[in-house]
Amino acid sequence: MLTYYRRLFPFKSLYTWLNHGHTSTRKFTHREFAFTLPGDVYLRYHSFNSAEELKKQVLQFNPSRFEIGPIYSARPRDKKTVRGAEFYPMQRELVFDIDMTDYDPIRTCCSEANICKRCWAFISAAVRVLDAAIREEFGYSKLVWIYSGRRGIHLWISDKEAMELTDEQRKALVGWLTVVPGGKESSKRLNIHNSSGRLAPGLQSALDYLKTIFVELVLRNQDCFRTEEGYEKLLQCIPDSSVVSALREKWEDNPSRSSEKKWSDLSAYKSQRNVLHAMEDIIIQYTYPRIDAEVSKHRNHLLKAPFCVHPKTGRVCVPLDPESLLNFDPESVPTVGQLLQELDSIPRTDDQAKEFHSDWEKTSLKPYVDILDKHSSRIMEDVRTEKRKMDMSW
Amino acid sequence: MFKGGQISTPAVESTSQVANDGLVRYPHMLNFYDIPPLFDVTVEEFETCALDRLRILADIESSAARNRSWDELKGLVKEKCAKLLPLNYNKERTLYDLQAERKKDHLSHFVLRLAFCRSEELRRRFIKAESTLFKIRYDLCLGTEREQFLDSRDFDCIPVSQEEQAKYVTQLAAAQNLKSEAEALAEKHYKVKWSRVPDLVEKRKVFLKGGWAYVPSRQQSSIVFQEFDVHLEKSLEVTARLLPRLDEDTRLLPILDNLSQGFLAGIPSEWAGASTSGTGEDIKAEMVDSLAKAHFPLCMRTMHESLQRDNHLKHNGRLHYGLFLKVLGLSIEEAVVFWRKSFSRMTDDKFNKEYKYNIRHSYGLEGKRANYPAKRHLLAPGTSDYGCPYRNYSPENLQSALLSMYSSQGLRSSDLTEVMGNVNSKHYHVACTRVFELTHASCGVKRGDGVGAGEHITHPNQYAARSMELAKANDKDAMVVDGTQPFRPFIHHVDHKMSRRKSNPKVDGPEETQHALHQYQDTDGHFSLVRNFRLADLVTIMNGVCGSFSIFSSARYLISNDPDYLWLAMVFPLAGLMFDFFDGKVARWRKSSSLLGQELDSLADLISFGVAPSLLAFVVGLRTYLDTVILTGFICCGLARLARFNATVALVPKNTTGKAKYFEGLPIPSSLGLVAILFYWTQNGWIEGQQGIPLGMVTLWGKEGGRGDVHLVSFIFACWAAAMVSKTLRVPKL
Repeated sequence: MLTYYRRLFPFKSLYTWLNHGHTSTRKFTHREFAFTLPGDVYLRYHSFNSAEELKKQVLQFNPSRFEIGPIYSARPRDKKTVRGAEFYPMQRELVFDIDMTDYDPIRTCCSEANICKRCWAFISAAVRVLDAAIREEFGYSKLVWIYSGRRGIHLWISDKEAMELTDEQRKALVGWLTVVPGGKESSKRLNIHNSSGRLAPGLQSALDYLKTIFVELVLRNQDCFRTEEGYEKLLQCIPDSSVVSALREKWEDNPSRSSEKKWSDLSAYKSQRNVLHAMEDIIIQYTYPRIDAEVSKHRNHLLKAPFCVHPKTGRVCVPLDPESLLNFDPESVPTVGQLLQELDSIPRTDDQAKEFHSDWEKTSLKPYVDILDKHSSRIMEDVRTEKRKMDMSW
Repeated sequence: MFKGGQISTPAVESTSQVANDGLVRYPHMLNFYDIPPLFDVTVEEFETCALDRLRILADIESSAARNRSWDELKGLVKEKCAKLLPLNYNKERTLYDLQAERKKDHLSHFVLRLAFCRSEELRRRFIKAESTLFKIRYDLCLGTEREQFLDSRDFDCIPVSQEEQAKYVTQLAAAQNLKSEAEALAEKHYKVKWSRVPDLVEKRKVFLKGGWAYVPSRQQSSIVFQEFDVHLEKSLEVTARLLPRLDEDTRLLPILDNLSQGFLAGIPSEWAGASTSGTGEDIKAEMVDSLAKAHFPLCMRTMHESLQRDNHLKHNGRLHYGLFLKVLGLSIEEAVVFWRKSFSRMTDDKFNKEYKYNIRHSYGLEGKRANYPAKRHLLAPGTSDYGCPYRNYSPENLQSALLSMYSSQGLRSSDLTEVMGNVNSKHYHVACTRVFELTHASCGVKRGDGVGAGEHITHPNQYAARSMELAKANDKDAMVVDGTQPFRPFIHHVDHKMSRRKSNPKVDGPEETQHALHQYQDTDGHFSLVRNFRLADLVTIMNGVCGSFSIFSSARYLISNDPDYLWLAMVFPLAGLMFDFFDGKVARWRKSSSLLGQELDSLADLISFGVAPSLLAFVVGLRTYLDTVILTGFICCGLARLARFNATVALVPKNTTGKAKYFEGLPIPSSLGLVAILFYWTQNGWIEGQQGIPLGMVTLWGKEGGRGDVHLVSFIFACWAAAMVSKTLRVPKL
């Protein structure tokens, strides 16, 4: 790990991304970092003046991972010296966390902490929907998706307005985006249509997209309704009891009927309005993003920093490009061991000093770092235009 | 700020002028309170209108704490408002003096702003209550009037053009759950940043596009409320910053203080409902004790117990408790009897001279001759002796106090969680009300009844009077009162222990102690310890220095045999005693005693009066094997004595100035007496190397010059050591 931090970890990229610029601002100096050391030691309220300082500390602690918190009103490391009331979180990226475990009730291929390419399709659908919703409805554009190293994905939104949202506003935003309730009730019947039979705005466009992938993902890929347990869940969602009993009879007679066929059986009743609505409910239930609300609601929530290493899998938390997300294979993410091997195979140059900072350029980490760099440069571009605008207004 | 005489809008004139049209200055029933009131008001008006508004706000707040529904709350507030702070519709302008009532509303809001801008906590609660009030009024407001009001203020909403509206009509209709799209088209929409209407966004009631929320005019209230909150919060902060600069005479600040404290208590009602005849019968001095057990609220009960126990109450306590009893129905004669009996330790002469006047004064028979009402809830922070126990006690103390006092009246420990919950959320009056409800369950008081019709306890007399009323109504209750008697010794016992602990500020205020300790813990400087020294600490250190010098002088004497050093070694402990004596004085004089000081004091004492005298004795001649054993024992006893002192000083009864009444065991500085003996010997030359130690040496075992030799005077040291660690020996303080 130490070698990884010393030679590969792109501190500079992380710094520019958090700092929105090359010269240190409060965005970095007042930012909380929390370290998890081996043996479950958890150190909170660290802050640094520069990327070098951060690197030094990381090398000293050699943490199993570290997390990024909000920007406080004072330097977090001075927490003890400022009065309690004057130390509060001011800004923070709007973050989302989608975790595969929330999909456990509906996925058939793996469960718990495992993940495969097949269930990744759920994630990529969720990313598409969430990405579009945030860009379209909330008008944010500085989004970066980061693979969490095992079974989840994080979204960091760095727009100025998004950073300044209060906890209450964050809660509202999460409320808007949450359709499928998390936790144990996730199998409860949804009712996304309001009394006049219309879908809430936002959901309509999500549904339009989800319809297109539903067949492929849920029916063919996951084959959710093949087992009795699976189709019972489906039947629970249908309000019309006559339809339910008719379908149940049919499916009990023919247990090996595939999900796709069962779905088309159901589609036969589409002319009934409530069945159509129920089908839409089902599509939403099975494919709509299930976000971990707690992460997004509070400004002072800590979230794992990109390029940390997941302690179980050894995979690096890498930024992803939403365009190519569909083809993303979580198994293809480089692990630390792999990267270090790559590092070993680099022919040593004489220039020792250089080696310390930009070794990632020579490994398979490079494309991912480039994604983050590109993202930060977009943010910086924005900051610059903003500044220029302010100057002009003078 | 309110006395802005230079601003020429004399209120009196304008009211008469605009009486006919009435709405010039306040065209709307609702008010966003943008402009502060700029007219003259009397101090009285200033206070009364603020108090009226405060009562409403307090009701809103306690309703929230008791989970009343919105409709219930609305009804309650409407009723209260009609009584205290009426606001009527424009169309009723002929019936009411709209101008005056709106002015009152306006003024009271700003007075309370002044009162509540002081702390974060107060601000937060004020905003919450105010915005609830605003919402209720907005709800009650008539449609047309509301629209007029909305038009009058710029809420920074961008109206949505017809084309744009037509473009998103499907989504708009869907968001608002409308039957047809035409409806959506007909309604006017406004565009605002979505973050301004988080509640609508959360429920998915608006259409969002590119960060803008399309809010229909029906839902505009959401924007208005949010704007109200934000606006109020900002202006409160501004007020808070400006408040210190308020060029103010001493008339307003006490009122403001009073108001902000009143908010914490619930309602600052001067509970004047019942005068002397309030309970319908006179109370005799002998009855007070049994009444206290059955009917007094916790604060008064605590006071009563402490009066019974110590036969004394401090001035503040006497004042509160005396007025409380007065309103309860204790006549002046009975009051004098009661207090005379309570202060049993005092001579008649002293009582008449020092206390009777005050009692008569509070009955309006002396001095100003005013008929003082009983003080309301004792919430003033800092008066930890006699303040509101719900507020001032630590949770543990409060729980045991509640249990010990009220368990006989039906308070179970399982109820405590709820009470403590209220306490923790700082709703002290709700906690008090809840205790009342619990303890009077046998009289048919149900949860939520409070002191009749859901009212809260805001005054100790309210509690007591209601309790007595209930008891009278319920004859059985008399039995309950009797039933408490057998418990008395037990209760008293617990109480006594508790109050002992209480009397020591160190145990009572764990927070204070924590704070004091953290001072040493939290500063990171290398020599921060030294920086944190107080003057008294330095004096104590000087004591230690003297002790050390004495030891070194003794050593020098042994090396050089120069008797000057021996003299020095004997004088230094005396100097140490001086310092020891003065450090306490200094600490009391500077009023900066520290926890560190106490420890330092003991450690320095050990050097100066433990180690140094023992070494002196050794130097002077007690040098045999057994002598050293005894001297070591002496030091160890001193050590133990000091440790015990530090550990138990808290438990020794104190006199009024906070000093312990007596020492347990001989105090260690008494070893100076031993030094004096040594000094005398030295003067007479009765020391080793000259004429030898008086009384000589005996050999207890073995041959002479062996291990069994001991000087007889060594036993003085042994006895001294025994006296120091004694438990039963009590040395009175001078």
